[in-house]
Order: sequence, then structure tokens, then C-alpha cells
Amino acid sequence: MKKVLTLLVPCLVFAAAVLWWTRGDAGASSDATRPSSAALDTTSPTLASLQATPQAQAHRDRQHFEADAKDFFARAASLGAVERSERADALTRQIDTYEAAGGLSAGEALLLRTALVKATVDDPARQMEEVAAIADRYRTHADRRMAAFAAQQANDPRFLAYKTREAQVVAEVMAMTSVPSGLTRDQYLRQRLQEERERAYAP
Amino acid sequence: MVAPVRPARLSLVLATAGLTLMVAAPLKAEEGDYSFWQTLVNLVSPPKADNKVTPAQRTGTYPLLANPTGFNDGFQPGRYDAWQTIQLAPSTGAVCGDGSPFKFFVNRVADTRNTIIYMEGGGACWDYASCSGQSGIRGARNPNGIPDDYMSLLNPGASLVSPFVTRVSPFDAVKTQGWNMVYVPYCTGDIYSGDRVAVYNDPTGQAAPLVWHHNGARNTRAVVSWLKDNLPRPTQMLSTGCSAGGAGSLTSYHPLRRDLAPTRSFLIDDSGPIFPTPKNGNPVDYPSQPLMSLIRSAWGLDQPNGPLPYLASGLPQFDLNELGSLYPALSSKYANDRLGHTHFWKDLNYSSYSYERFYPDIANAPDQATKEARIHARWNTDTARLRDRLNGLNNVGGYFPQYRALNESHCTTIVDFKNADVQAQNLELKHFIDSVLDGQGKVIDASEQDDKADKAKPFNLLYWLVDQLMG
Repeated sequence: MKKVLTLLVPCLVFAAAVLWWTRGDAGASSDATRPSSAALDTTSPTLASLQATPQAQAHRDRQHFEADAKDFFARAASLGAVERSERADALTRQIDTYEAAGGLSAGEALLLRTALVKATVDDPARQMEEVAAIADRYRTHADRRMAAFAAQQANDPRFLAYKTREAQVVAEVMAMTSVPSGLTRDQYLRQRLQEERERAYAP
Repeated sequence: MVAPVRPARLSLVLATAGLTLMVAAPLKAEEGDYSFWQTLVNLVSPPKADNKVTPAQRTGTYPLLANPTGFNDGFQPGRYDAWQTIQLAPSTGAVCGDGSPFKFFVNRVADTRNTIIYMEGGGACWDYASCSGQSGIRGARNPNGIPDDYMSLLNPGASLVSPFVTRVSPFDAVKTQGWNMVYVPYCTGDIYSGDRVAVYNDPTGQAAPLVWHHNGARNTRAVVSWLKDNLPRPTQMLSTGCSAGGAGSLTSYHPLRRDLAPTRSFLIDDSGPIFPTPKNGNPVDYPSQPLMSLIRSAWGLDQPNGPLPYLASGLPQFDLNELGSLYPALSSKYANDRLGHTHFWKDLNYSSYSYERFYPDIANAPDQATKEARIHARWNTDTARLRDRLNGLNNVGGYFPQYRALNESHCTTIVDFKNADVQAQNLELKHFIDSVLDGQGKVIDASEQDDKADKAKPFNLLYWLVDQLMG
């Protein structure tokens, strides 16, 4: 009986797993979600090789970071001071890394850093100081980048060419006594200006 | 007599069975998630679009236009868990208000098809003063266009980031945090709804006229076109945003939902109401009437084949003489979708945009308290009518808390989902969100009577920080 069960249980589990998998990903079209036959062959080294790719490693690292951050914020109050500080430092390093790589938006990173201050600094006055310092750093960076963007835009020959033509086309269309192609003046103006942008930004 | 099973063989069999179950079962139980195996495949071979724009959709009114062949949109299909800037060529019809190129942002994941479309908020504009970005008047975000590294800048929009579009929120968990994210920036001042090149004259006569592209409707179409051509069809989709983004998610819901064709679709309009208001209604009874009348003209909403006729052509119950009919029209058209609207009774931002420049008794109020009271009174009239309308719709919930000490009580879903509670009904905002995204039957309706409990809450460091950043 024990031997039968030993064989039966894995078979049932396997059958259930196959049924579960073959139902397809809910709501998805079959061709988009079905792995290739090679990817499904557990006896081949494909699964192992897929799990060993740099992409899979990066995926696991990211999932670990997200899980660790959620766990930390959920349990920070119950952690000892040393562990709390060490984990907060580790999270800060990961936030730095992901933010630099575009894996966190500035707003998201700011919220995380603020939450870390709240979780690790007990004194309310010091909390405010540290949070204000973080905000200042982000604001300074944003001001500098926005100024750089404005300068870049102001010197972009394609944008400048378009703006010059934009003013000319607006004056021309506004002065028209009749608008061609059966369009309203607004429709015609929009169409003309799109054509000017296509010309200005043509490769 | 049963022969003993050798322990080594038993372990091997159980391990094999366990591994089989583990790798075959999806990591999550959500509809639209890929299996563990498929996720591994996706990481090295990203899934392709399976709902591409059809030739018919490339023509007609508000066509879905693609970037030209050879145009570098910047997209890297295999770059996951990172914000990518997607460039749209002028030939897609997309453009920012100042005439600069429009772009948007995608953060892709390998383990689900589900997708959130988040529309950024940021005011509105309809004349020279408000569209030129001059100080001292409420205007619209990004009057000078969108930088490529926008998501890495702490602009006001980013400081108001919502838990809906954060992968790791310290404060709230919601299922969209694991979805593909599409962040649509706001640079046209028209709640993503306009289609008109306005020429605004400087009232002082000193500066040249301001040419402003209220191009929101076409920008949204260009985003939809790109999504269809580059990403898999969403199984679940949430369209949301706050303020102008909330209004935009509402006004664009029908074409977005129709063309992206998710299996299950949700809408949460946070603090971007389109109030029930007859076109020629008396402003005493319908306080938003002057604003609506003005923007219909300034943004070209009523032009032949323009944004409103286009919407009405697909929504039989949408009455162009009463734009608040959009809610019942969507409810009827998409009876199986779950939709929600939320805003604070004490919102002092969207309400100021709605009334401040249209009512002399507000503009000339003797003091700030009187001014705010007059704004609140009109907002209450409009909100009560919207609340009553939504109460009658099964698949559209209305959630109206009173007050939060953040951003003029404007937007319930930014920063965190806290402190937008309706204490008398023992409800938190998250209950409402869950009702939209995961509920059954009628979507929750709730409305708070007074703000005493809200105003008695203690100091909140996070809210203080955000208000500092907002200046």
C-alpha cells in the first residue's frame, strides 16, 4: 500500500501540475504565452539554463529587493536597533543602485528614503531635518536638470526651426479669408503645423 | 506484506513531484500573470505585441498612427523593471503644448500581461496667463515640454507619485504595483481631451501671441497606438490618474478600453470630476457651467468630428448637452467593467480651477476664509449631484471622503492611500480601491458627512514633506 501511494502521489501531483499548466495563462492568447516546447522539457537542461541567465538573476535580485523592502517596512518597529540599522543601510544601497539604473523613479525613491528615516530615526526633530535634507538634494538635482533641459531645448535647431515656421504659418492661416480642403480654420492650422513639425524633425 | 520503500528513492520521487508542481504553478494567482516557466522565457525573449493596430484603425477620425519606419523610439523590449522613455514622432500626431515632441514612459515586467495606464495630473489652462506658465495664477504642468529623464527628476508630479505606480511602496500594497506601468506625462493643459491649436494674445500687448497645442486627445491616441504595436494585450487593465489625469482617464476611457481590448478593465478617476452640468445650465444651480462652456471652445471639444462628437459616436448614452452623462454612458457601454470616482469634499484645488476665475464674488472675496467658503459651497453643490448620480450606477462607485492635510485635500490616491477614510462607515480608501479592482456586485459608494475626525489627526511627516516640495 505504501509503495502504491509512493508512486500514486507524485503521479497525481504531476498530472495536476500538467493540467494546471496546460490551461494556459488566463486571458492570454495561446501563441503569446505558451513557452516553446524546449522550454517545457524538464528533462532537458533548458530550465536550468534559463534560470542561469543574467536576466533571470537580475529578476531574482529585483524580487528579493522588493520583498525585503516590504518586509522591512512592515516589521521595522519590532526589529532590534542594530538589525534595523543594518537592514536600512542595505536597502539604501539597493535604492541607490536601482535609482541610478532607472529602476526607481525619483518620486518612488524619495518616498522610500523618507520611510527609511521614519523607521530608523526616533527623534521627530531629527526626522524632519533628515527628510528636509533629502528633499533639498532632490530639488537641487531636479532644478539643475530642468535648467539643462531648457537650455538644450532653446538651442535645439529642429525646435528653433519649427518655432520660426510655427509663427509664420499661424499668421498666414489667421489671415486667410477662406480655408482650403473643406476644413475649419482650427483643423487646417493643426494640420499645417503638424506638417511643419514633420519637416523640422525629419531624420 | 508491503515491500519497504528505500528512503533515497522516496526522496527522489517526492522531490521530482515537488519541483514539477513548483515550476508548473504560476507565481501568482492573478488572471493575466505568466507562469513561472513563461516568465523565464520572457526574460530572454520578450513577448511581442499580439493586438497590433489594424489597417482600418490607421485611418478615420482620430486614427492610431505609428512612428515612421526607422524612427528610434528608444524602446528596449528586454529591459524590465526600469523606466523607459518612449519617443513619439510628429507624424503620430503627438505634440506638447509648446510644440516640442511628446513622449511617455513605460516600466515593463516579465511576469504579467496586466497593465496600468497612469495619467499625470497638473492643472489646466485656457488663456495666455494660464498657459504661458506665469506665476501667480493656476496653470498647467510642463509648459516647456518633457525632458527625456523626466522620471528621474523630482518634479512636482513625481513628488505626488501614487502607490498605483510605485513598485515598492512603503505604505500600501495594490496589485498594480506588479503590473506593466505606463506613465503618461501631462503637457497640454487640456485634461488629455483637447484638439485645437490655440493662439492666445498677451493681454498687455507686449509679448507675441502664445501658440498653444491643446493636443491631449491625439497624444492619447498615439500612446494607445504605440502600446498596441509594442506590448501584449493586457488581460487586466486599470486606467487611472489624479486631477487632470483623473479627468483624462475618464474622458479617454472609452477609446482606450475599446482599442487595447483588455479582458477585464477598470477605471479609477481620482479627483477629476466631470460634473453633471447642462450646456446652458444656470451657474447658480450648476456652478461648473462657466468653466465647461469656456473649455469646450478653447480646447476645440465641439468642433466637427472633434473630441466630443467622436466620443458620442461610440457611446449612445453620452449626451453632448450634459457632459456628466459620460458616467452613465460608460456604465452602460461597459457593464462588466468596474469603475470608480473619488474626491474630497474639501478639495480646494480642482474646485479653485473650476470657480475662482469665473465668479467675481470669489475673486473679490474680502479674505481667504470667505473665498474658501464660497468655493466649497459651489463644490458641495456639484459634488452632491455627482454623488447622487453615481449612487444609481451599479458598476460605477463614488467615494467621497472629507479632508486630508495634503495638497489642499486634492487627490485621494497620491503619496499613500491613508487618511481618506469615511469613519462613519468604517471605510478606508483601500476598501474602495479593492471594490473596484477585486470586488463583486455593486461597486462601493460612500460619502462622509463632516471633517471633524479628519482635522483632529496628528501631524504627518510625509505630508509635510510633500507640501514643502510643492512649495
